[in-house]
Amino acid sequence: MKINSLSFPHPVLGISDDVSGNYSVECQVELGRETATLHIKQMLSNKTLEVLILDKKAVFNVEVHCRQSFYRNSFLFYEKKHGISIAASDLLNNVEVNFFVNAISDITNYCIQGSNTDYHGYSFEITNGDILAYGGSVNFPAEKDWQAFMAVTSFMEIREYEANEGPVLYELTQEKVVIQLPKKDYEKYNTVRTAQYLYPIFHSSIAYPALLFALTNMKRTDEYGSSSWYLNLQWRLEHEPELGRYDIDRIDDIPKIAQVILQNPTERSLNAMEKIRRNPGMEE
Amino acid sequence: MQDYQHIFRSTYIERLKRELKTQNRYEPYLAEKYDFDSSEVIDKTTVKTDYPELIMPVEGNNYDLENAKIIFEAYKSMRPVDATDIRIWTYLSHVTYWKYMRIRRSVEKQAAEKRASYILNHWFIDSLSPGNIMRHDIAMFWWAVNMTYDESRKNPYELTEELFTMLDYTRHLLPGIQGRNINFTHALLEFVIENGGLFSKHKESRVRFLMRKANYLAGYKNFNLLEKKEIKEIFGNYKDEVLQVIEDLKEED
Repeated sequence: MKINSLSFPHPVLGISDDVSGNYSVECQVELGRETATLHIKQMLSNKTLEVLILDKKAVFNVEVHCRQSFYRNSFLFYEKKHGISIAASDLLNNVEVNFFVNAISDITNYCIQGSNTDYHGYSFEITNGDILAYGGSVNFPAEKDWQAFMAVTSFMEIREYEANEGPVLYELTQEKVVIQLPKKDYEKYNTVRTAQYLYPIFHSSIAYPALLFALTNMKRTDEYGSSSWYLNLQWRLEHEPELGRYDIDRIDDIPKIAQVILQNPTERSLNAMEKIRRNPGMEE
Repeated sequence: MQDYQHIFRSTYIERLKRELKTQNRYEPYLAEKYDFDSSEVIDKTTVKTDYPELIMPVEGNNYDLENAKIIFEAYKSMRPVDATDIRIWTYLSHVTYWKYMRIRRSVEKQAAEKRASYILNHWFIDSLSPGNIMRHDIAMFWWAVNMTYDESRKNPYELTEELFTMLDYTRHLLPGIQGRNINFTHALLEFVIENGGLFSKHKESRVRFLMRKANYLAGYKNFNLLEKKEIKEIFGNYKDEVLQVIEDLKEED
């Protein structure tokens, strides 16, 4: 919701310089197999709004919106700390959470403490549901299968392109990072792709270069910011402890990040090759 | 007897779409039966179905409401996250309901240069979005009922029946940001039903007028924290303005 570009008929805390004061929200998202849980801490400092919430004329509104699964719901609280659980089966891919303070009754002659001098001398008629403050938003990816979320295939896929021969191409504009192989290579890949003992080699020779390309572009631009692959990787960068010591803005960290995500692909690939060398007839 | 839902592999679907987009390969969609590669079919083990038959469209009647109920009843226990799986809907439109689709969405009636895009719009869900789901007839049947079915009503399909009186509801209301909140959708449909006289003429224009008003109000008001009664009261404030709307709109498809 592009709320910051809206012009409201009354002063709203958190929009431009309408009102001085602070409204921000800390939101920790916990993704599990069955539920997505949001742990929320509201931080509001504006006397007018705090009194309205205490008097139950206004409320904290946590709006959860998942476009791809037709899900849009508001969760209302008077307390500053609260938790929300949503069935994982209701959500898919990008979930946007917006934080508001809304009126829940009509309020006449509304004046908010700290309003911009432009509003001095004016009062407003507020009706039930009107937005009084905006506390920002968070996004998180909700994957269908929690285990699948961590797998390479959750953010990458391999397809063929029209030419018989040529270089490997990468496309970042789709929901997943698309690795495009020319027809001849794709046919060969198809004949071996179900061989599990070759997975480490696929990860190091096919997935790893693609991931380097994707991570470099994440650092360079937020053009792909709404794609599932981008949200998936961003989520992992922000929440996985092993990735916490790296910074995607440091170019030297990008290969290290990619190797953590793919769980040391070079080492695993060499181990796999060693196994094949020792057991030439092996199937798995 | 219920069986696991068959679906096409996503790589197969991508190939079919690519052939349409780059080679304009619409000829298979003129055939009596769709010739597909059975090795590209797998089972989705979280969905079961008995593949019910649909009522075939005849001139002047597509039986959308009846078919929507058939699909919804067959897939009633399907979770929303499974219903976003485009592989299900692509399989159903190409295999199970091929005959229905050939009549409902006749490719022959489209100009040659528009056939590929027409097929992509109605046989596939090219990228997952509410608007694209609503353009795929079989997917639309399930989602339209899922958003309007209400077991607390004497007739749980009452709001669904209103929904299928007008194309605008599935083209604009449900895919729109307000329509994704079930409370809002139910409130709007109930308001139209309860004020039948107000909408007895120029219905499309008047409902669109109300939806435009709602979009305007939603700029500074959150509808999804309001009760249905409160939303209908807001609509009620616009009755006089609704009566002033007297133009008729041509339905698009």
